[in-house]
Amino acid sequence: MKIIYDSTYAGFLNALSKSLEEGHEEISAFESEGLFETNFLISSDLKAAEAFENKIEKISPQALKVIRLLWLSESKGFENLALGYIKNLFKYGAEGLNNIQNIYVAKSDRIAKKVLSEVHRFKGFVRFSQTAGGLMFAEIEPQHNILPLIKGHFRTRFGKMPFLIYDKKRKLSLVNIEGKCEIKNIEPDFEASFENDAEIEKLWLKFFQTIAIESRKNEKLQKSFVPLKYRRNMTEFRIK
Amino acid sequence: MELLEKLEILANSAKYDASCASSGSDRQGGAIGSAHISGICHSWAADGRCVSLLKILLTNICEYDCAYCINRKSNNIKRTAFSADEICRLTAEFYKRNYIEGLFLSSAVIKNPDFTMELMIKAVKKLRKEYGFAGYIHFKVIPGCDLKLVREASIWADRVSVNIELPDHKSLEKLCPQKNKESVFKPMKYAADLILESAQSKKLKMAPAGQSTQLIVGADENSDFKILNLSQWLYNRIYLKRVYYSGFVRLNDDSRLPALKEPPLIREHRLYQADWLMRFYNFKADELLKDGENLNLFFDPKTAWALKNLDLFPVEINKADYETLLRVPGIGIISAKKIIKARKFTSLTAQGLKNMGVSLKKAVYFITISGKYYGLRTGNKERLENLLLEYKQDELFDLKSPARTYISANTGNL
Ligand code: SF4
Repeated sequence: MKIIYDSTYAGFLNALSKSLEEGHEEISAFESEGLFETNFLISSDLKAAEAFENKIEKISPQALKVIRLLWLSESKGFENLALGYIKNLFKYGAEGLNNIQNIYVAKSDRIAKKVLSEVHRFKGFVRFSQTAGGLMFAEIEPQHNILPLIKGHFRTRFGKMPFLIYDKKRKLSLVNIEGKCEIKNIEPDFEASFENDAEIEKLWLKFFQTIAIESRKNEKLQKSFVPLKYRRNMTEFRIK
Repeated sequence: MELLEKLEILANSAKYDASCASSGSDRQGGAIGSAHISGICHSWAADGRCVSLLKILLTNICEYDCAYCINRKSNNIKRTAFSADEICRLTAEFYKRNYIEGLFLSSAVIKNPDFTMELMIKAVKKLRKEYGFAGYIHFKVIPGCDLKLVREASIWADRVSVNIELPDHKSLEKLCPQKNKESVFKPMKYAADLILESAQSKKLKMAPAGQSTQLIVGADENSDFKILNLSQWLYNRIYLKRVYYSGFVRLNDDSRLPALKEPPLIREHRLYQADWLMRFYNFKADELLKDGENLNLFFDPKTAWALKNLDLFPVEINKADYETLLRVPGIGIISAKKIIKARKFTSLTAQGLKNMGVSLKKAVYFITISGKYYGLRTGNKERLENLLLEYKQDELFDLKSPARTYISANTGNL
C-alpha cells in the first residue's frame, strides 16, 4: 500500500514511522491515479513526529541529519529513499551507516551531499543590493530548500546589519532585523529597485570582467562552476 | 582619474597573480564580516578561475623592471594609485553585497619597498580599524622590505605571501635585475617564524591563515623536478600553506623570455596535481620525478607513477590500507575513505563499489576485488598504457576533472 502524507515535515516523519511499523513500501505527497492502487492517507501528528526524530537521533545523530537533508532536498522520490535509509538504520543500528554499498544508503548520502554543496555554493552566490532604506536585499532560486542551512552563515557575516534573503521559488524569506534572524512565510512588500546601488554594481562588473585572463579563456569551465540556472540572480551575470 | 578607471587598471595589473584562496581563517568580531574557515568562491571569471577576493594593486607605478611583468618600468602604460579610502570603500561595499570574501592587496614598487609597504599597511589598518572590517585580507609582502613592516602587515592580515616567482636565483637575477634571493627569502622566513610563534600565543594572532607563495611556470628553463622539490621544501621547512603555480603568460616582447604562444596550462595543471599528491597523498617529490625531469603531460602524475611501479600492483581492495589505496590511480581521498568505511560493515563487491559511487574505470587495472582481477594483466605494460591513454582523454577534456582540481586549488578546500 502507498502512504500519502500532507506535504509537511511532520507528516513525512509520520509516514516513515507508519511504513516501518506496517511494512508499506511507498510514500508520497501526492495521490496517484492508478485504478487498482490503494492509497492510505495520513494527517500529521506533531508529537509523534518529534518522538520519531528522537528515536532516530538516539541511534545516530548523523542519520537524523541525513533525513532532514533529504527532506530539504525536495528531490523527486526522496521519501522512498528515506524509507530505505531508515529501514537499514533500524535493522543494523549506527553501524548501518557504514553499509554504503546499499543503494538506499548510498543514494541518500549522495543527495544529502548535494544539498550541502548547494549550501556551500550559495554562501558565495547570494547577491545583495542595498535598498533606499538601507536594507540589504537578495533574491535566490536554489534547487533545494537551503534557506534554513545558510541562515547561520549570513547571520554571522552581517551581524547587526539588517538583511533579507528571499527564496522566490518557495516564497520564503530569511529576515534579519532588530537582532532576530528568522525564516518567514512572507514575500517582500517592496519593489526591487536599486538605483542607488548602480555605482557599486558598475564597479563590481568592471572588476569581474577585468580579472579574467584573455589567453586562458574557458567559458565551459566557468559554466560548470556557475551553472546558467543560478546566473539570473547574480549581479555580474545579470547586468549586461 | 575616476574610480572606475582606476579599478580597471589596478585589477588588470593584479590578475596574473594566481592565488585567490580565502580559506584557513575564522576571524570574527568586527562590525562587518567574518572569515570563513573553508574558503568561499563567490564567482568564476570567464577564464574559469575562482573569484573570491578583491584582487588589486595599490599602485602599478613601478621602479623595477622585471622582464615578464606588465607593470615594469619600461612599459608605456597608464599608471595610477588607489588612496587608502578608495581601497577600504571598495572592499567594504563589495563585501556587504556578498561579491567577495575580502581583499587581496598587492602592489608594484613605488619609490622603494618600504615606502610601498607603508602605504599598503596604512590601507589595511584603516580597513580593520575605521571600517570595522573582519573579512579576509591577503597581503602581498614586497620583496626587500624592512622586516618590521612584515610584522606590521601580519598583524592586520589573515594571510601574507611573498612571491618567489622564479625557482632559482639565476633566472631571478636574469629576469628581475633589482631583486635577489635574499630579498624574497628573508621576509618569507621571518613571516614563517612570526606565524609559528603567534600560533602558540593566545594574545596576538598574526596571519592566522598562514603564508603562501607563487611560482611562474615556463618563463625559464627550470624543470618540474626542481619546482616540486622547492615546493616540498617550502611546505616542510617554511610551513607554507600553499604554493601556487602560474603558467607563464607572455605579455612583453623581451629577448630574455621564451617565445611561448600560449600559457602552458596542462603543465600548470599537472604541477597542481603533483602538489596535491605531496600534500595529501604522502608522495615525495623524488618518487614522482628524477633529477631534471618534467611531469608527463599525457598521464596525471599518479598514473604516471603507477606505470613506473607496476610491480606494486594489483592491490586487494578489501585489504589494502588507506595509504596504499590512495596510491591507486583513479582512487582519490573521497573514494579511499568510502572504501575504508564500507569495509567496516562488510566486504566489497564490484557492484557495491559502483553503488557507492567509486569509479573503477581506471582503478580496475590496479586492484583485485576479493582476489578477482577484472582488468588487463599489468604485465602487458604497453597495452595498459594505451588503454589508460584513452581515459586520459576524458581527464584532460572532460570538464569535471580539472574543475575539481581547481575548486580545490582555489579554495584550499578538501
Ligand atoms: S617589481 Fe617587478 S614584478 Fe613587481 S610590479 Fe614591478 S616590475 Fe612587476
